[in-house]
Amino acid sequence: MTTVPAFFAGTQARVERAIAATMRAPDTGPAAVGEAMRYTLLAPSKRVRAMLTLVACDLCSPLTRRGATAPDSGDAAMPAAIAIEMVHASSLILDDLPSMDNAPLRRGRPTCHVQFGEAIAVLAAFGLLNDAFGLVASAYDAPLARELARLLSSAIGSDGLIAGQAEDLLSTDRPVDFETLERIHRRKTGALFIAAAVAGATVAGAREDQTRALEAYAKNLGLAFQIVDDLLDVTGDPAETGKAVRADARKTTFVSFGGVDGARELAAELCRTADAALQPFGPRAAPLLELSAFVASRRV
Amino acid sequence: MTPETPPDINQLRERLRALGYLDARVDRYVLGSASVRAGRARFAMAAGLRVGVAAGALAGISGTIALAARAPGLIAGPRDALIVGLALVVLFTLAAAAAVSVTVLAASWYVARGRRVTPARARLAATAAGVVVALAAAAYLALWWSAAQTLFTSLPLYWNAAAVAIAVVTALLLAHAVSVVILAALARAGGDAIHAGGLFSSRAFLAVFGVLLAAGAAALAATSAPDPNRTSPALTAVPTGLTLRVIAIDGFDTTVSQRLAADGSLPALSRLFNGAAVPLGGPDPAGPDPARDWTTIATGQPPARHGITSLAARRAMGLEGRLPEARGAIMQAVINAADLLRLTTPTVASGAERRDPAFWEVAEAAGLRTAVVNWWATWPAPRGDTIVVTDRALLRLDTGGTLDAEISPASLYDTLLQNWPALKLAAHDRARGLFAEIDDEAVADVLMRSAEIDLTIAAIAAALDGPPLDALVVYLPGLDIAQHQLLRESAPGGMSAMRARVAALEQYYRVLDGIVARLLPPAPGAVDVGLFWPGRVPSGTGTMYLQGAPIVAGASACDTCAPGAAATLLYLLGLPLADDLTSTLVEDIIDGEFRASHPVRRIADYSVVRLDRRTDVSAGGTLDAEALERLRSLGYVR
Repeated sequence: MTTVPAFFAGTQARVERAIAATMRAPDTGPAAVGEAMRYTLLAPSKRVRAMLTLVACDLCSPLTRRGATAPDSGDAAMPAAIAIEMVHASSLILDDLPSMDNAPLRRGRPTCHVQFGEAIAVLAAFGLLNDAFGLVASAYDAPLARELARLLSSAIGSDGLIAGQAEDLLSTDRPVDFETLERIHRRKTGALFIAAAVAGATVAGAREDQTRALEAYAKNLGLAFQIVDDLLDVTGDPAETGKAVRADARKTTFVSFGGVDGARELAAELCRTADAALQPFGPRAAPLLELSAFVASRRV
Repeated sequence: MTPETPPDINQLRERLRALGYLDARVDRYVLGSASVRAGRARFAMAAGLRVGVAAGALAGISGTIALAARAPGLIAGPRDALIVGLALVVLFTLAAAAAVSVTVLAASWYVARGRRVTPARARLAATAAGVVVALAAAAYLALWWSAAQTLFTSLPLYWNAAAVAIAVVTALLLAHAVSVVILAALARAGGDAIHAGGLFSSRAFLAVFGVLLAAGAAALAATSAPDPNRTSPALTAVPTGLTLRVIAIDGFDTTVSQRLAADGSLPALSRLFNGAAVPLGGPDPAGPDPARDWTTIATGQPPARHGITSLAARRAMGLEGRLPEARGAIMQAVINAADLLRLTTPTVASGAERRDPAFWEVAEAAGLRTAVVNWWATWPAPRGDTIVVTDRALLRLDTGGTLDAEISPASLYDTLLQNWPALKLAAHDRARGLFAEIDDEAVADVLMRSAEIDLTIAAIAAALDGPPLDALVVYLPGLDIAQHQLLRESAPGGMSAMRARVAALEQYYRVLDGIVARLLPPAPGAVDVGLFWPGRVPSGTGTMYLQGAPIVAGASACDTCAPGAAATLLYLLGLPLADDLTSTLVEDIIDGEFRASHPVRRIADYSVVRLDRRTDVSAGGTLDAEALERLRSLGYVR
């Protein structure tokens, strides 16, 4: 079993509670869409992105910088963290659709379109996307909300997640070179990792150098996360991963280039590089170091 | 899907680095400002500034070291080094930032105009920019090394190798940074088809670095390897039993003096002329400069090496140290402008700028006892018991007050100050008596003033007491001062008046003969030396005459060579000769028996002679302005 970092459990629980509170069943409107949204968003998850946002905010918070104990300074970033999780959940719904990866299982459960039908799944994905922007707009003052909306938009948009997904689809059953594979995952996975870290820093009003350090951390961690994902697709236990193995057999992955050992080595190096980027924060960056250690060794 | 090639983890690692992952720290630093929201101009400026800061830090620090070597005396301490270093860092930062920003803007503008830039062309452009920067940085660092190595000659080889390594890394890092920025600018404008990355992959960087480092180390090893056939004894004196008595006379015309000697007017000087003669060389093509020329004679090294390139120097605002005199019309104009703005102020060359020891300092370091009186650029005097009456001593004795390194030891100042009125009066009266018969009052005044200076200096030299000296060195400027003032321009009255002046100057040689007779009475075991230099009114070449027991009377070195004085004087004192000494020993003027019993000893250099850099003396000293004014009144500076 993968060892979950000590700080994970508490933060995960806070995120889960906040998401549950945000996603209460609507009084009006079709229940199926809301149910599909909650089904995906509340499914068991590591909440790595949300955690990244909360810890980044903690790290850059003026209170923490002065050395004061500020256990809840990241709570200011909770709406942003939930918005990131909503965007992520939305992308998962779309990614699993029959017209895309046609995946039957996600997080150990039937995928959204299998459970609710394709049409409801599409609507749920759009619902989550909209709610993400709405949450940011209502939780923060205008300048900060605008900055976060811009961040989310560029992570999702035509140069982000959507571009990555499109190129991924077009590359299925075709060999791609290493740089193309990196670009696909930079957009599909890395962009949201970076957005998560930068969003936390932005909420905390971080300095430029702090934001850049967190961006470098997230960039390397995002790719490491994807490489480990590719590894789990080959070597993982479906009972643990909650996904069908060899689901990516028709695609080029990082394992295709480096082999299992090589990919594992690269993932570990990327995590070490991510850790090195946190040097300016000193020992306060311990939670993020634990997070990268977790990513490097995760089995789920 | 499986790629056709087998997995190569190192290749993947390099490709990831090129994409900005793993340890791409230089790229991350340089591209830290390349956020998606920044416009072209902002990106260009931010990236330029980041590269500029790196270039400024690296080039500014090395530039400070080079400047310290090129302009000895400019950096008088850590504070000066900090100020000059900061100024150079800012200068290089701004220059590099501006150059990089403009280049990046140009690249962005080129793409923005709709020109298609393929990844291959983008990489070519970035590589070309990187290579240009590498070559420029390498050229700069080569110049730096050439200038700075005068500071490092005595350092062990590994320090030199480390300096070469730093220079190579600096050039490569800057080149890489620039290529990264250019590529990023093109990628921002040209889209994702152009990947990130710089001039070198890490492996290529290490390979180039390794090759250059090995080449540099090999070159240094080849040039610095010691000659196994040569032994380098420590700086010790092997007593020869000789006492050196050196009188240096500026403005000396050998032809005139030989003629006067021939008719018996100069008996003391004739005794020297009857000894051996060694050429000292002719006037410098750059024109006469007493501080430079006499330091060259004393150190046995050329001005570029010993560092005193001119009598007039400049002090920069806020610095303790000094700038050497500007050469060339453009630099002179810059200095004049700086003077007007009060950024620089004139000052006088001093021992602080001198890099090489004078022959008496080598003798002192070897344990001999010496005294030097009134030699150029000897202020500030060293601490301790060494007898040095510097070129500012007369001024200090005239003004009184607290000693500021004008005379060493301090007890000598007290003694001289006590006797100063009587000593001055005696010199004054004697000078008046010598030239009382000259009709032209202006000419008589010049000669009296000059003679008073020389007689005062001679009186100080004669008043030195204490244990016997191994070497006494006295510099007399009077003839040069008089000659310069009387012959520099046409005299009113035409040829006859000029002839009268020349005749009056010939009388001055009799004054000098009297001084020589007083300071160099015949004594067993003494080698008497006359150092005669043409001075500011060109009149032939310089000559050293020697007279004493081991000197072959009537012998002379070749007429066309210029062996200088230092090597021969050091040998006669029983000191080893440094391999890097430009002055050479003239063995032919020394008898064979002496040479046989005192074989020439060699030493690598005189770096063991630590020149006393007085940190307790204020910049220029308390008499700087007065010294400058007195030199101006004597016609030395304008």
